[in-house]
Amino acid sequence: MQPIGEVICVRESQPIVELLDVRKAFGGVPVLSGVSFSISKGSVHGLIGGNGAGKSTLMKIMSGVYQPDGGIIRVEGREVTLRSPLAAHQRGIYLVPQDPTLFPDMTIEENVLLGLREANRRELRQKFLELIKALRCEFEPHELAGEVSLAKQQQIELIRGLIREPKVIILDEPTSALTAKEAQALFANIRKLKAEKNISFVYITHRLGELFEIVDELTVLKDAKVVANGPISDFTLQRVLELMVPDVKLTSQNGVQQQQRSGQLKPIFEVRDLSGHGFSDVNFTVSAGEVLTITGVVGAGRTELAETIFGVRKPSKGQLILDGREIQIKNPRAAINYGLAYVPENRHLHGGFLDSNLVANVCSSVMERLSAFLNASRKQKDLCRKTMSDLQIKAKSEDQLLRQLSGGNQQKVVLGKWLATEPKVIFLDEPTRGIDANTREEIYLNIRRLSNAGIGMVVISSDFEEVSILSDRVLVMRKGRVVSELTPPNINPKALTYAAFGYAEGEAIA
Amino acid sequence: MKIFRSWITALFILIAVEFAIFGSISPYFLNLDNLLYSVGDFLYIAVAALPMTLVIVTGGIDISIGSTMGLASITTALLWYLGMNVWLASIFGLLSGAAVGLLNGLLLIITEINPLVITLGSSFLVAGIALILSGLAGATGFEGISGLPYAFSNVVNGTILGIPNAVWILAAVAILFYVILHHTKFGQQLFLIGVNRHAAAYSGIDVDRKLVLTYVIMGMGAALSGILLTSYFTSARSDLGSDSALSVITCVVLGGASINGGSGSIFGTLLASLLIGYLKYGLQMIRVSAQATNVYMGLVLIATISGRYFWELYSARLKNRAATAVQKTS
Amino acid sequence: MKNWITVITKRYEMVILALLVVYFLIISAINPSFFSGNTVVRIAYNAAQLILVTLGVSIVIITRNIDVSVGSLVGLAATLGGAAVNATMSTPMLLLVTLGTGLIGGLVNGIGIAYFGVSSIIMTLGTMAIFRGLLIMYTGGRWIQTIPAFYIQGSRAPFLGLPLPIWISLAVLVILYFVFSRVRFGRLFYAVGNNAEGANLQGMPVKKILVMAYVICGLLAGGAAAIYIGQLGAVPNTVGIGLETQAIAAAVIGGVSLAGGKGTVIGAFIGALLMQTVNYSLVFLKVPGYWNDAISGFMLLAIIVFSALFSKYVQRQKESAVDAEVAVSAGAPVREGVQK
Repeated sequence: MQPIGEVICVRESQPIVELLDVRKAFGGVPVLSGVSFSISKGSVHGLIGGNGAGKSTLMKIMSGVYQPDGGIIRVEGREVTLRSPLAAHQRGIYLVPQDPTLFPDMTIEENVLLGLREANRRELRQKFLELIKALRCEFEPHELAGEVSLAKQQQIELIRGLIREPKVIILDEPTSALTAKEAQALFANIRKLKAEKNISFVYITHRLGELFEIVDELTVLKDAKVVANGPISDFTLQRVLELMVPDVKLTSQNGVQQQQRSGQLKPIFEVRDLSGHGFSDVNFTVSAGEVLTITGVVGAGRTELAETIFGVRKPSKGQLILDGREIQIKNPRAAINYGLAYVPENRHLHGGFLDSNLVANVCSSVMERLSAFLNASRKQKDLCRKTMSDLQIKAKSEDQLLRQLSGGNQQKVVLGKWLATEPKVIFLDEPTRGIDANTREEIYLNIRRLSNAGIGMVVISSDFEEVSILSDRVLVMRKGRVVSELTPPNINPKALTYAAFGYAEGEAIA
Repeated sequence: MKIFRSWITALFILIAVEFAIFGSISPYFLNLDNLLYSVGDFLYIAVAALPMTLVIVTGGIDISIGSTMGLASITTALLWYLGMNVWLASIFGLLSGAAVGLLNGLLLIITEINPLVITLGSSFLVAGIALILSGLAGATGFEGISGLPYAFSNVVNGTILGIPNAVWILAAVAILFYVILHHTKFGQQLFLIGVNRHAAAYSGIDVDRKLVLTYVIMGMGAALSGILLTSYFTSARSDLGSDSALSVITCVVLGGASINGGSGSIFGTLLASLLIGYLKYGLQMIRVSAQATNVYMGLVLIATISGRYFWELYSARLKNRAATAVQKTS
Repeated sequence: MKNWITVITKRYEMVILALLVVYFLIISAINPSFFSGNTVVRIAYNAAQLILVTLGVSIVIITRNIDVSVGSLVGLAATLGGAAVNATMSTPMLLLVTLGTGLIGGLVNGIGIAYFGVSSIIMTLGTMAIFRGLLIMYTGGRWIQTIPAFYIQGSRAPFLGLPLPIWISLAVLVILYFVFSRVRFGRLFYAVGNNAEGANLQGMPVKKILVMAYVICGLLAGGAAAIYIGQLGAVPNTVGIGLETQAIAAAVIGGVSLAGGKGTVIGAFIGALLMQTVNYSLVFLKVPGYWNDAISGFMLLAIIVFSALFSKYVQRQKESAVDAEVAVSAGAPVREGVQK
């Protein structure tokens, strides 16, 4: 038998859930290489780690959505096989997903209660209404789930979990769309459930500050393995950062480059009084050699703005001015021809062709240009190879499918495809979401490099740390409007948070 | 890529096995002349399966091709019957197919409804129109228009250099579609659309136009099929080829294309067409009825998809087990 | 202006019912003898089969799947049922065979789709050919020319003045309405159709529900076959051809969305009545038989186009309402302490 690794219990009692040497691979790539830790009864167990995929895969295994390729799961000391979500529920484990998976055309009440099998529906309904009150939710049971905001949908997901009174509730990034007040309400509820009903929580987050507020024990994942595990008192913010990203030389280098950015700027692209679906009266200018960031919380209208500029949607009014001339952008093809590039937010949905090879991906936007009728396979191959070397994309060959590359390299391929169009302005929408720290650094460097080469860079990001590192200038959007503009030295996470959430909200998450 | 190569190999093996089985049952099967001439029997399926590959690569489907075949057949024959030169009439027959494809394509991009349902509806509409047209020729119901000129029927039934025209035609159409799908910009873009339609749109590809064009090509291919059938039978009927959608789709899927789009090959479709075509021929030879053949076609289709599903499941599981096992030793 | 959108989306069944009535009146205006109680009864009587098949297909569509094999399944069930009643002279036997065939056919479809990785399009396209092939193989291409008189009379027997099939279709409607609108089990189908992955995460037995949907559809197809045998008094080998198109068209007209999760059995019922009324009116107005297919196809396409355009229109209205909100509400005013 191989050594399992240290398993630390915070309380005297037996752990409620134990994971021993859990392994999982996708497409031949290991995502979990022997993960072991245990969750104590009545404790909030934090789980953090770089690349998103490891954590959520682990949680999906725990909640019966995936089956592990190796390893053991124990609930209250007994070994279990969780073949389906139902099996996990029956064992007392429930996952509250990060992205809501509700039934949009059914009522909120049905969304919550339909999955429950108890016969006494009246009692269930009672519990449901009580939970709505306890969480201070502002919706009616008969409203359709598809018609309420994202934050409310997340609350509904939470209620789905709480109403089952499981032994372990897994919360996957529960505060990502909540305001500060709502987050505090959530914490209060977690503490209450912990105390009153001895429920354990697995708390996944990338907001490291939260850990020290609510978490009792912590497990840190890196490169598909556990690198640290223990009571929260063993950790400090510094130590946590180091554990996750030891080879990152953060801020300093890029900060230096930021300061050198003074002097005359040549404006390339200007947006005037632009209004469209989700935003109104937006004005800004992008200059060569400048990295402009547009930030705000989810729903602020940034992606809609970018999509409208790029020609995916039609604006209701406003002008776009490129190199001093007004232009009309009717569709993405026109935008590309003018020299605009848009690297979309969710690379799987909008940016990359997972089941196509690298050549097809890299050339997908320039196919029209490279040849008239027949496909120019040699030109395409050459272009692909050049792109791969320029951006240091790690792959076996250009014939590989995009799916076979790591997340970070996939993002590079998508970036490379846009660079192939020789753009004047590039819009990047949440470019490093779900990407490990090393690749993140490379992407930041590339953004800088491109900016230095005279391309206007517009980065849309809700990661305030990232914004602080990258930006020469920041626009903050809120509810569809630009509410403030920040320049150094006022670009820091605190100032950004205030502006993004609106000063009126009061205390912000530090 | 690897899956693709092994799929093609598997097809070759299956054809070999098929020939071996039928050959052992009846010596006439392996007669070269018989084999070549029997291409005329299933030419219409193969000719329709080739453009269908394009449609399926984009993630769509078209089950109205059977009706389009009938429409093209009747249109051609009707115009000839009314005095037009038969070749010119054939051009109009092709155009009628293009019209159907245009209808399908436009409906698809305007309503964004599943192409299955759209082509289900148009299938009936077109069959009805074909029926009405045949009524106009006095060939009411399912009687045909016959007596077409010898030169016309010779298109499929004749020979050049001793090889039946059907073989030449199949080869020519196969080469044409091979170039279109695998060596043009258009074909490349179809693959991208099939893999990720949204990403294709964001990449500046005019998805709508490409899709409409694809369905128009399909319509014309089906029309060509219908006209070739008419030539083969030397008569036209409005229900010519009405059952063919199933066989055609089976050929494409059996040829390695994914029903969800994004992958497919002309060569695979061609091999699969031969496999299916000779299967029908062989079954006929051992006196299996046409209906039973249809049952077998249905089973083959279902078995192919199901088989592929289980194979992918199984091989993924093996790959992942191996990957995690390797980790243990390191 | 907003109101009529709400009306159509929230009270869709009312709208189609109104459409049905309007159509009825229009035809009556063209040919006044259409307007009679007799016509209504005849339509309802003839509609019984289409209603059952439409209801069955609707359940499948609600789970976001499709079934194009129902026509052939009805055909197979009718063929076997007809042979059974001729051989045994027993109605229970006929019912056993027709319903049994439907059940098995539905089971085959459901299992293939849920457990064997075959998409519903391909599976039912395949079984469509298989069922039809089997039925022709069984009869050798011949028709079943006669059906025992007792069954023909029995299946049309009037009850409270209306023929039995009408009551059967109403009874089925009531049962299905109850199950799918008021009972948890039925609501699961809507959940699966609305978000199958979400349903799985909630611990719902998605695969079993899919199989169940096809089984119900198959059973109803069997029921339709039993009625068909009695109504026609014979079983031609072309039985059921085109029935699936009519049924799907009727379901879509009735408000059952092809995307799954939306629509009611009541709407499907009315949709089927509407289709049947159109069919009947064509016969009544002496439109030649071979126009029927063209008209069915045309109606299906027309309905699909209109409902898609309508949804898009509603979507656009919603978006511009949201935009109006954004434009009107100012974002948080800029505060001093935040700017440079």
